[in-house]
This record gives sequence, structure tokens and C-alpha cells, in this order.
Amino acid sequence: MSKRIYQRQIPLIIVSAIITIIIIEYFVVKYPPLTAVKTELDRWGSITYIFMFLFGYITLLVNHARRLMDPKRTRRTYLSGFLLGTVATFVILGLALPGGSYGLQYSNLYKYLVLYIGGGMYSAWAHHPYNSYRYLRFSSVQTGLFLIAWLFIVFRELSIIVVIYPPLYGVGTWIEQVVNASAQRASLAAAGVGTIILAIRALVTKEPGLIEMEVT
Amino acid sequence: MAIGLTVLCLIPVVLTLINVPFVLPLTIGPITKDFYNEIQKLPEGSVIAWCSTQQYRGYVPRRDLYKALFYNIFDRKLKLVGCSFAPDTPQLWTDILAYSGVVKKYNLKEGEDFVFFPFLAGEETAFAATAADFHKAYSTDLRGIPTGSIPLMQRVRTLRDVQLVIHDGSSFTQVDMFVRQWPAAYGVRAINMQVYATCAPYYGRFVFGDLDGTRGDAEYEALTGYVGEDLLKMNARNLQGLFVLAFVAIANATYFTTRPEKLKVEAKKG
Repeated sequence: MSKRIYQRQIPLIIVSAIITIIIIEYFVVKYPPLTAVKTELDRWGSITYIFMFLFGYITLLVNHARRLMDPKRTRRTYLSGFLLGTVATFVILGLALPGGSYGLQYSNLYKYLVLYIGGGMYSAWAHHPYNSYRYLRFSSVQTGLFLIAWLFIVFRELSIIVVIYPPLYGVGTWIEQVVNASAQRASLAAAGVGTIILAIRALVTKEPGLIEMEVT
Repeated sequence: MAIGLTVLCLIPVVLTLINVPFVLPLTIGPITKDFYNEIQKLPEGSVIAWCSTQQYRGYVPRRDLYKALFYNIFDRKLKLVGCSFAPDTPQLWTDILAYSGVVKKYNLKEGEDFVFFPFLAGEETAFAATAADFHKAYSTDLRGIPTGSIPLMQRVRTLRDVQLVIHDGSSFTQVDMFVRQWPAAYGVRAINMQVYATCAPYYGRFVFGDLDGTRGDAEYEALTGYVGEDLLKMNARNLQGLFVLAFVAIANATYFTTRPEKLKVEAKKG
């Protein structure tokens, strides 16, 4: 079997069949057997997603292991890393097992370790306001419009300003409900039509895609 | 200028230290009222399905809002089915149960009054699978009890058995996924807990209420009477917002006053 068949044709046929079933079931007809097939496909989608998660975690572990295998490190570093990892694993398991993942011990452990670390990671978002401020400069028509839209939405978001001048609430809402919503609808429609065109092109083998480019 | 700003910043600090209540005025907007009314108009015993993709970063700053919402739901004697579509979400359900103390306050029974399901991967695919058949999507609830033997779930098979759906998420694109797979596909009314911009294209058609960020959260707390941190945060946001507006104005003024000088320098170099 050529690389082209199993890398491109077979996945393409599977994906096309799934897309066809999902589109018909969602937009055209709620035929019970078709709905049952679609529900089953959704479940398989979730299962596949879990394996992708697993793949991601394994990749992370492999990368960390590779860093540890760096010959510059001493034997003592390896040993301490291994011991620390082992102890941490057993501590987590020891705390988690008695009550299961719904138990208070595991819940607290998750909260204080994983969640708080996550909170710390997302603190890196502090740099975002800096980027935003660069856009809030009345230096062109685009940034000018951006600034005006932003200004009225901020006015709406600040209750003290709305209390002083209530119509500003309506102006901010209008920007989101009309201007922003129209742009969102347009981009959604464009993305939807584009996806269908792409799917049809792929179906009639007019869309080479990355796999095809790698093969040739 | 610097001294003035420092004094201005110190005012709320000093007021807090000397324990003087510091509450700025707040009007309750129609979008928050819509959110509240959608819950209020449900008959007793109605089932709410909560589609949560919330993660820790979004949950912690809004813990008091969740508490107010839980109180509002169980004050109305409604039933709650919580679905977890982010890895953090199951732990967040556990935490909000403990933090709000609703089980004790309302004498609730897990499985009869509320049920929480474990993490289901797949985002939009998982939303669709859950809506089509809760029992197939989840073999057990978060406690490990088989879904079929949970009293509440004997009434709920698909999303058609639910009277209201709530979306709460951590990413903007998830609102689109949610609308496609839950309210649009099953005709059930929805309310949203992410900023209004995320659901504006669907407002009035699929989504009928929203909590628009800090302001929406504060309004909701004021509306329900379950006052928490969000009302205080609204005060901070008002002050912070005024500062930001002032700085943007000053920065623009500086930008325009210094620009000609830069042009002169460049001309000399050329």
C-alpha cells in the first residue's frame, strides 16, 4: 500500500463520511438511525480527544526526560530528580486514593497544586494590557475607530459613569449588539462557507492539504 | 502630578483600613435582568443543565458569583445537572459546593437535586454527545454512581428534557460551539456567563440573558441580594477604569505633542 493511500486517501474518506453524516443530521433531517450514528461518532470523537490529551502528556514527559538525559548533568542530579518525582507521585496517589478524585483530600491537593500553578501561569497575561494600549493610539483611522469603540464600551462597563449619564449604557450595548455582532456574524458565515468549500474540494481531491504536500 | 495620583490611590486604602463602607452607585442593566428573569420564571422542579468549560483562572475571581447563582437556583427549588468540559471543572464543582454550603443550607441530596458529571474531552464533540444522550456520554457521575441509577437522571435523557441551559466558559470560541450544539440544536433557552460580546450575535434568538463580566456579576449579586466580592470589585473597577481613561488621554496627548519633535530630528539626520 502506498504512502499516499494510507496517509491521505483513507483518512480523507473517513473524514468525508463523518462530515457528510454530521451535516445531514444537523441541517437536513433528524432521522433516528442517522442521529444514533452521529451520537456514536460524537462519543468516539470524545474518546479520540482523550487519546490526543494522552499523546500531549506523553510528549511533554518525553521532552522533559530528554532534557534530563543531557550528559552535562551529574549522577546526583538524576538521582535527586528521580527520587523527588517518585516521592511526589506516591504522595499524590496516597492523598488521592482514599476518597477518590471527588474526595476532599484530592480536591484540595488539586486546588493548591494544579489550579494555583495555573493561576500563576495565567498571570503572564499581565503583558496583554501593554499590547492593548499600543492599539489605543489615535494614529490612524483604524486605531481611531478602535479607540472610540473601546471608549464607549468602557463607559458602559463603569457603573459610576452610567449613573452620571445613563444613555452611555445604550451606546456601549449598541456597539456590541450591532457593530460587533454584525462583524462576528459575517466572520462566522465566511468561516462556515469556507469550511464547506474546503470539505467539497477535499472530497473531489482538489485540495492537496499538508499530507499531500509532504508525500509529493 | 505623582503626589496627586498617590493621594488618590491612597483614599480607598485608607477608607478600607478605617472600615468605612465604600460603595459606588450601580444601576442594573437589562442584560443582567434577562439572566435573572430566565431563572426566576422557571417552575419549581425544572431542570437546568450547566455546560461548563470553566477553568481555575476564570473560577476563582467569580466564586461569590457562583455562590449567588447556586443560591438563586436552589431558592427556586430547581434541579441542576452540571457538565464538565474542561479538565479543571470537576474540581471547581467540588469547591463551589464546599464554598457555598448549599447542601446544608437547602438540605439538598446529590443525585436528586443536583448532579455533576466528570470531565468529558472533545469540546464541541463532547457538547453534542452530551446533549444527544447524557446516559451514553457519561457512564457515571463524579462520585462514580452509574448515570442510569441517579434519580435526577431518570428524568433527563437528552437536552430536550431540560428547561434551561447555562453556558460558562473560559474561551470565547466555546460560546459558538455551545450555541450550535445545545440551544440551536435542541430549541432550549440559554443564558450565558461570559462577556456580552461573545453571545451578542445570538442574543434574543438562542441566548436570553448574560452576565457581562465584572459589571454583570456585580449587578447579579445586587439583584439576588447575595452580595459578595464582585460588588466590591466593581468599585475597584470604577476607579481603575477612570485611571485607565485618564492615562489613555494623557498618553495620546503626549503622543501628539511629541511627534513633531521626532519628525524634526529625523529631518536633520536625512
